[in-house]
Amino acid sequence: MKIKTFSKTCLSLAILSSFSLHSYADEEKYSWNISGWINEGLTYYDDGVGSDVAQLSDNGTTLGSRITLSGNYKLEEQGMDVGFEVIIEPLSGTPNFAGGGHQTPLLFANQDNLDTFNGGDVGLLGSSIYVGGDWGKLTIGLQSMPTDNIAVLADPSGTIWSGVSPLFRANGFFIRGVEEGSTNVAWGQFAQCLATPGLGIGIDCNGIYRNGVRYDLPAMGNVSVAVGYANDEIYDIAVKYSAEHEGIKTNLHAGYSVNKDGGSNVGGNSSSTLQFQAGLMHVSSGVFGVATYQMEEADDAIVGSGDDTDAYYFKAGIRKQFNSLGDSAFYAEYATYNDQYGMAHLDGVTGSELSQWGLAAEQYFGSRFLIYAKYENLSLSVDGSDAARSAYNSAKDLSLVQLGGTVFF
Amino acid sequence: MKITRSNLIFISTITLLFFNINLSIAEDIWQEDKNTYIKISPSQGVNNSHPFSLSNEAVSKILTSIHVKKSSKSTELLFSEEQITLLSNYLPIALSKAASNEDVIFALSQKKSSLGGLKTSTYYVSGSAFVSEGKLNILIGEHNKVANRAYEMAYDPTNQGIVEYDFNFGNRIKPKFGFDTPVSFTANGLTLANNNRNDWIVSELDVQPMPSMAKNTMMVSTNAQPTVIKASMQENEKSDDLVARFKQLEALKNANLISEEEYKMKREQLIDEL
Repeated sequence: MKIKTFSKTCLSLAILSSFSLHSYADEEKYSWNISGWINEGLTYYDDGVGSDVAQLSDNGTTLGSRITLSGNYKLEEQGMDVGFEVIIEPLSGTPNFAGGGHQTPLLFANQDNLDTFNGGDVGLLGSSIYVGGDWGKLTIGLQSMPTDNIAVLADPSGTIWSGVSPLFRANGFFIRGVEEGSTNVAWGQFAQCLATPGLGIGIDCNGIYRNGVRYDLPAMGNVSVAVGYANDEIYDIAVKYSAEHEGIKTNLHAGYSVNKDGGSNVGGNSSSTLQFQAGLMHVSSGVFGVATYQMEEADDAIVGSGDDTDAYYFKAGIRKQFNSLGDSAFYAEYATYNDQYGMAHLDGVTGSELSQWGLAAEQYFGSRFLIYAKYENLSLSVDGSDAARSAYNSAKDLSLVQLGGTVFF
Repeated sequence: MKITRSNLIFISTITLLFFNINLSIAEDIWQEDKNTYIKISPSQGVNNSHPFSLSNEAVSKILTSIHVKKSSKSTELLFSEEQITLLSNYLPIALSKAASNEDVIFALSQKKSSLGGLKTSTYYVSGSAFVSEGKLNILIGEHNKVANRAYEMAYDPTNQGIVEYDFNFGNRIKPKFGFDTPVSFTANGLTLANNNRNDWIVSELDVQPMPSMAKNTMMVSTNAQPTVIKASMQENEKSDDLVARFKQLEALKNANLISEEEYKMKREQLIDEL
């Protein structure tokens, strides 16, 4: 065993030496890069019963801290280029509530405020290679599939590190005020996705990195189209439109996915997810707005469980340079996640509405650094049996105040 | 595939998107990608001397004479060598096609490596140009604006080049927080407009290098690009001239100012001169 390890070490050193002796980075045909961002924040919470400060690193799976290594090699004679991308992210040091794998720290943050929620592990978010040419681009591996973030990043203001459509910050917090016996129900329980059972983020339900194949068609003017197939029998297609007309920047995103493994949290055997997001920004005044819609349907869900859900997210504000430091942004947001109660149908719940609203301020320092302050409020109401209404409609609102910063590199 | 409510809505939406693919009102003169281009754009309420004929050499001379402060002891060229080549080729074409109420706007990139080549960052310079009262005016909107590569990879994970930055192209009315890095010149005939606004350069069309100034600038500049200055000052050198003529020819063809046949004929003539 020791000899095997020693051999591997020698082999690794030999490979690394050959890289260092021959600098591919100096070749014009070959390029590689390191980029990413680190986000850290401090959160104060008031759950209606108690309050405290919780240190939260990260800001969710979509825009969680990461280090990306990428490379590209031009095959000029063949008219193609090939490349790779490896993304490393910090993970919580604590397994998730079901005893499963580690996840991005923010999804674990709650009243327990364990140190290990804040990161204690490093994981692989993505690893893929691609071949591209005039015919488009084919990417294979663990990657962001076409409908990942399709209803998240159309915000033309770029004020996404403090506020996006999925429910990230409150996801892991326990709902207080519900009847004894249900006290460990987290807010994410009422933002359950059908496409990815267990993922309680409300919107961007097909939004996790998956092992798959993705084909991006050549861009057609301001429209780009991508299709994908991922493990296990997940098909998706996404269309993005981006243009500026008479000083108004417009982003329109649409995505549709079918997940043959989806819907299992409501007893179904497949699900489909439809997502839209539209963003407008008046460039000279900095006024912007975002509207988001998601609809999910499950096939053959068991009687009594919800077989379709929908969710909306709206955001409006202004981003403009008011001081010499850089742009400042102020916005308000409102989201409602409907009938995403997942397994709570076992408690007699037949309908739910999780509402979230927030106010945020951001200050940018050039393109490399931003700080933000955000207030969020969450509330819940349910329909169903008398027992279900009695259990959940006494839920206390959750309030969060977060101060955070992000450094880009 | 089963027809569901969601896939019907999706198909209807993308059909609508394809009806209106390009709404941009700016006219492209040259474009490499969404963030690197030279265009003609409406400029309301002004009366420029357009269309205007200007030589590539004149533009090159002007641009290679503009330096910006890099640190307390050094300066660097406002535009990189590649950017000067592009503007020298396409700015004359754009000015010859622009109307009196139009400006030429540009956003140009430059890649800079660090960490021994492991880290590459893209920096942009953006602004606008116009000719008024027989002088070339250059408004600088942004300089060394760094691309957020990390955001690009999140928004556009397969790097299709669909991230579009909002550039500031400068303004005749002095902005409160505009480009304000000190600018210096290595040629006579260049001045700063309106109470020494660093973001507004006004140039005679035939500038003359200031030998002593150019020399001093090169001595203190650790990162100046002497090859650019040399190229400008020794543009009668045959090889440089040929390269410039090839690029000019290519630019003329791309702007549809010459036919395919004329392009081929002229190209063959240039090849014969090699």
